[in-house]
Amino acid sequence: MSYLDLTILDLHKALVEKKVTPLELVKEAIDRLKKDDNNAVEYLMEKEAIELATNIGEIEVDNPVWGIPFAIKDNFSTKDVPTCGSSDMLKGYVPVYNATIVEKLLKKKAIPVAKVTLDELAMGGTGATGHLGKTYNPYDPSHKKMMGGSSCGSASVVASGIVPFALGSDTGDSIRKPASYGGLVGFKPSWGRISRYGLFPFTPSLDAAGYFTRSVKDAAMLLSIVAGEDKNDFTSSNKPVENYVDNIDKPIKNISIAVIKEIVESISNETIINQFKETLKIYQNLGAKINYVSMDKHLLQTLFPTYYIMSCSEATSNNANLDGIKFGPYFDGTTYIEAMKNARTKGFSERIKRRFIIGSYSLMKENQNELFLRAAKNRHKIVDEVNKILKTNDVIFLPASPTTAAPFDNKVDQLKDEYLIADNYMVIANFAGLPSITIPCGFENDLPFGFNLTGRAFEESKLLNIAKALEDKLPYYNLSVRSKK
Amino acid sequence: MKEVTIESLKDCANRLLFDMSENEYQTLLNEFKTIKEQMKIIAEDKTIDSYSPMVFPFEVSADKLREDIPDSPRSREEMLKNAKNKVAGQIKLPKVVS
Amino acid sequence: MGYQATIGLEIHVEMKTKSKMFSSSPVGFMQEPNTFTTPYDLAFPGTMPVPNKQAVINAIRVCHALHMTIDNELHFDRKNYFYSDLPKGYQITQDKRPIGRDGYLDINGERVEIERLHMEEDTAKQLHFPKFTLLDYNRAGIPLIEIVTRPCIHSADVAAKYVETIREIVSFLEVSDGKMEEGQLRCDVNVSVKKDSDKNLGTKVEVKNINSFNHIKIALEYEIQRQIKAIESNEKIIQETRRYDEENKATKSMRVKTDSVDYKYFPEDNIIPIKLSQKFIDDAIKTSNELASEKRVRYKVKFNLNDYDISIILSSLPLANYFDECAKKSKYYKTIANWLIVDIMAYLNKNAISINEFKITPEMLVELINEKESGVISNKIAREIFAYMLENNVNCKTAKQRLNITGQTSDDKAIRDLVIEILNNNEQSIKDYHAGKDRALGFLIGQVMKKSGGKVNPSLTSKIMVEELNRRK
Repeated sequence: MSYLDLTILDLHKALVEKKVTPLELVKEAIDRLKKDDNNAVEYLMEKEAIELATNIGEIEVDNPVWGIPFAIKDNFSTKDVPTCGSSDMLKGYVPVYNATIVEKLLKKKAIPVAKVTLDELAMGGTGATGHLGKTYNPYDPSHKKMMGGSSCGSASVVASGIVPFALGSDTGDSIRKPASYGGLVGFKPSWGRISRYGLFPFTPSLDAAGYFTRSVKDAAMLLSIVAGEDKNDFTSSNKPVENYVDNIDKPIKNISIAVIKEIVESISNETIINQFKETLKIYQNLGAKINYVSMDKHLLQTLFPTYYIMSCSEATSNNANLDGIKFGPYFDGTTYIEAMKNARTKGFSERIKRRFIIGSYSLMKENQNELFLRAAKNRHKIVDEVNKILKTNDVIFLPASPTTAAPFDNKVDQLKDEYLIADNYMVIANFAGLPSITIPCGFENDLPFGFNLTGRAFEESKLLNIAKALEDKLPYYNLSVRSKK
Repeated sequence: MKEVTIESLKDCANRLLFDMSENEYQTLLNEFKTIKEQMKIIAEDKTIDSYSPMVFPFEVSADKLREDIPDSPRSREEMLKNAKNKVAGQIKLPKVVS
Repeated sequence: MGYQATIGLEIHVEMKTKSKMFSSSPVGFMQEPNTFTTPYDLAFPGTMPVPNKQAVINAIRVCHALHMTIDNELHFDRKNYFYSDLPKGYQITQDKRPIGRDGYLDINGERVEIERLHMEEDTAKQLHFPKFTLLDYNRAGIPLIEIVTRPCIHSADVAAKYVETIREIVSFLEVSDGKMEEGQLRCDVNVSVKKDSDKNLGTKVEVKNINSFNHIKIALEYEIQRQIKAIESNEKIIQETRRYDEENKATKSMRVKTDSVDYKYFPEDNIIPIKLSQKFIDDAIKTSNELASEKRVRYKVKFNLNDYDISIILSSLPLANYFDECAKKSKYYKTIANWLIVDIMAYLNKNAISINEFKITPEMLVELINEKESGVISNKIAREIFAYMLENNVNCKTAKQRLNITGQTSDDKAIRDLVIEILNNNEQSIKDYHAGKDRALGFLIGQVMKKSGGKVNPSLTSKIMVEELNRRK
């Protein structure tokens, strides 16, 4: 076993004890990335990472990310490092500034080794729609199963054991769903907890920066480093940043855990349901109270269309800056309109264009009431209902996905409950700006699946505590393709 | 609501400044059918208009603004390095006004 | 048959804050292209808007000057459209909740109703050449306020005066220099004409590209006449956008408006609502500069200045500031006004400089004026000193010393000696004086002034002269 296979905090111990150096770690990570065949990498930061590792200086014993290699989803702006959001529209774009979350990690001397791929402009859930094509799930060497998205590259490299953590972004479930398919801890905090400055916007009021790790404690430790108010993000919260590791091992006696019946009932996979019941027992044994609650099935069926209308509407505006004038590889024509049109026609995939049209159509004056505004009203209703549940419960606990990683050629009926409800419910955390975490909870046919916990806004500390309690009772700490072997 | 037709979708694409291939419009038309079907569930909810359209995930407001203190400007070379056509420190476009 | 024109105006004012509306990008006018930008201005992916406090304070002050209701919360929206000068593909503005609502200005006794005032960001500047266009992002993101009237103005004259008053307000509040020629104040006008007997307004025509105060009235009068002529010859007025053609002093059709543009407005979710406390609003108003209209009343009522003098002093903020500085240190308001309007303005015009570049400070000028008004020096001497001060850049005291103008002029004994000397040589005039010929007194005083080279205090001389004459009865 290599030191690179460890979690961040275990690796930090090895670095403090000088058993391994950042340069050795970076070189090994680069080596693994080069050998990796899951199609996860947009840009290998070989030169940059080796330079950082070479000049890193003395070990900082109180800084757990010192010298730790990590990967960055390619929709975070990185100064002097190409960033294209996995869209041809931004091929060759080299940002002039760092996203705040990247800047904070660089200041702490964590070492980025790669920009990793995603569904084009983070719009997608399969990890198959980026400009590089499909990203594969490392648990399926036959390359038939998806990683899930949109943070597919980030999930893939952490599940492969190439890096101990990777940055992702989550608008609907873009971190938490691939975390389930990849047997990882996937965490998005409350809206405004981590600065979004430098994250390519998809739907600002739903977007959250977050990350994949292989332990809940790593996730807690990282939050203390990357959270906080940012003068460049007016929506970033000025609530004080806590030490999220401090309370992580508190007993969870008397904690109330809500399980939404209608969501569990819409899942047909027995392995997942049985394992879910097992984990509920674990929680009960730890002294937690399980409350089965109900949510209107019709309202649950509207989660996906509400999300889709809102996010397409916002996306068409948020990507209107991509016109080929200031950046981007295509810009030719005899009039400026023709040139902009050329750039956008060549730059966006047809899939993205369809989303933009749906969004633009929803925002039109004569359609706003029935589409965009109706979706926004329904979001309000959903949020009210979810907050009612959280008023008397500390967290909502549910399977993160109704299946293990789906095959790429999976045809789903988009009007069926399993799709509309169980496959899309995690968006409630984005609608309500709540902290939400997926942790690995089981396997079916050698493919992992995870369960999800969603807590009250800005109660990350409690949420992480409850997640860690379950992780401690399951054999999936530091799970990766390597550790499984 | 405006009727969704191939023509209205083409007009929409045109206003968004891109073209799509013909069969994509058919796919889109079908996609719209599904979305409208899904949105119908919300339309049938009699209570929906008693909710205000939600903009932010929770009650949130700021009580302070950014002080009017300028940063130093970035260098022109850096700011224009990603632009395809440049001349004399400016981005060059085909003629805008006739 | 009579006609009525109806005019509505939309004015954009570019603010002179230090940083831009939604980023800390520095604001620089007349700079080398693309040297005053940061990533936000070019809409690099991931950049986010952060509103500028001073821009909000400025907007509050203008709202107050326009008697508007000021919102206690700020909300921003996106206006979505594609154009080559619009970096993000949308402009952040205030659509649903403008910071100011329902104000007015009284112009020539008529009330101009102001519907709304909102904040937004400027676009990049385009430089058009015959075969291509160049983009300069220095202007992108500079704070703007837009002030929109209701269609309630009925004459070109009131419209022009209204724009002039807005310019005066924003420049006296130091929100903007308000120079139309430099695009700091831009004005779009909607004009329609109807027969007096018609109930409904006529078809609205938009006139753009009026880029000088002098052109507003001409352009509007032309457009009103054009529409009247069209109605009289039974032509249909088409809804269109026209531009003012400076050379021909006429409006020319630019484009016919087909369907109106759908800007697909929706709330800007990168800016959470901003609560403005009553204290914040009150402080912004309390610490704001005095308006020209307030100064106008003060100059008239307190300083007793005439309308002409007031209008000259208020023609620019620096001039008014100069006057106010002087008026703080001297109560000879009329004399200060005279010097400012006659002597100083002549000098400024001759040398083509502004009052800001004028070397004589208000302190220096007041020293001179006080000496003259208290009779220490004559008007003639004062002008000599002023000329010397200007040429040598020295204060009044130094000028006097160097010109060898001493304080003897008010010396009672010295004047009396001179008076006696003059009287001794003018027996006939003494007789004339006692015979009741008033001219004789003036002649005698004139002789004293001449003899002294104008260096005696005229009123003191007059008093002594009368005393000495009476002694020789």
